[in-house]
Amino acid sequence: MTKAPPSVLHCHDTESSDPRRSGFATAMIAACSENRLPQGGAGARAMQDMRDEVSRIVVDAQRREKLHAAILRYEDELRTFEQTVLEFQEILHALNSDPGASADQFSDLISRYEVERKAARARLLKIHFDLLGLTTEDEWRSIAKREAKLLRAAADPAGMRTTRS
Amino acid sequence: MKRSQSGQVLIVLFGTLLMGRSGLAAGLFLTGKTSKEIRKEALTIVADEHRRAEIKKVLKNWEREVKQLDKTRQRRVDGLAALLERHDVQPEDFEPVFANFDKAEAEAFATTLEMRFTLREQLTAEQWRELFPGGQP
Repeated sequence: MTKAPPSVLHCHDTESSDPRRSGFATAMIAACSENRLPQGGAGARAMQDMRDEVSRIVVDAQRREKLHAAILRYEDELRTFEQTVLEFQEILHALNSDPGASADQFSDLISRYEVERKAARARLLKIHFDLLGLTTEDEWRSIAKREAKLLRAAADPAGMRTTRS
Repeated sequence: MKRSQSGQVLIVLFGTLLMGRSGLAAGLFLTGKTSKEIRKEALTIVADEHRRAEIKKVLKNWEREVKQLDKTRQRRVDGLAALLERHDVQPEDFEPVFANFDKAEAEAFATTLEMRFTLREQLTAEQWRELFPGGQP
């Protein structure tokens, strides 16, 4: 399983020494590591649709098994990165609430987040190409609709409030 | 970001944070509040007429910038989705798409931060803490 590196997003003035934050992150990661993506929502349904479609159309058992494993890695990457975003957002809000925060502090935080995002994106793209390599063109045509649906579900402007839930 | 929105995570990851769902997300992601909420609360806090006018102006400009971001968002998402659906796609095909997303993200962050600091100038430190209560980073 492809694992993301530990987050490099730290508190600006205390680096990673804040026990509340690291404790929170550890708890969240631990909680997430024991579960698949939450059921419900267009995204979760689209992931399940991908799995179902693979089961339905890929006859070769060996390839089917590898595809399911790749989809799980895909899901794990999304979950891990989701944690990074939540952590980044929390630090960003705290920095914003500081009336003395400087532009350099924001730039530094955003730069570190961007490094993580691009690394995670590269890992996800690798999994995407693993999926491509395990499917025929006809199979992919059907499976890809589910992945695109996942992406387009995100572009739906409804319900955009960014909150922990 | 709601924890069940794996699709949103995907677009944030593949695409860009601030273009993730709507340009409005830029300010919301930074502050935790929408421009509408910021306007309402800031105008409740600030009594000075000149500063109130400046606050309204900053937020109006912000909303105009956001609309521009939203205009290109759907087109970029469609382009990325089309690439993901292709079986013959090559890794290098994604490079210009990602580069465009990354450029847009950098611009959106810059615009949002500029808005943030312009707004900050209109409030005292105490008023800022009242508008955006929260711990130190």
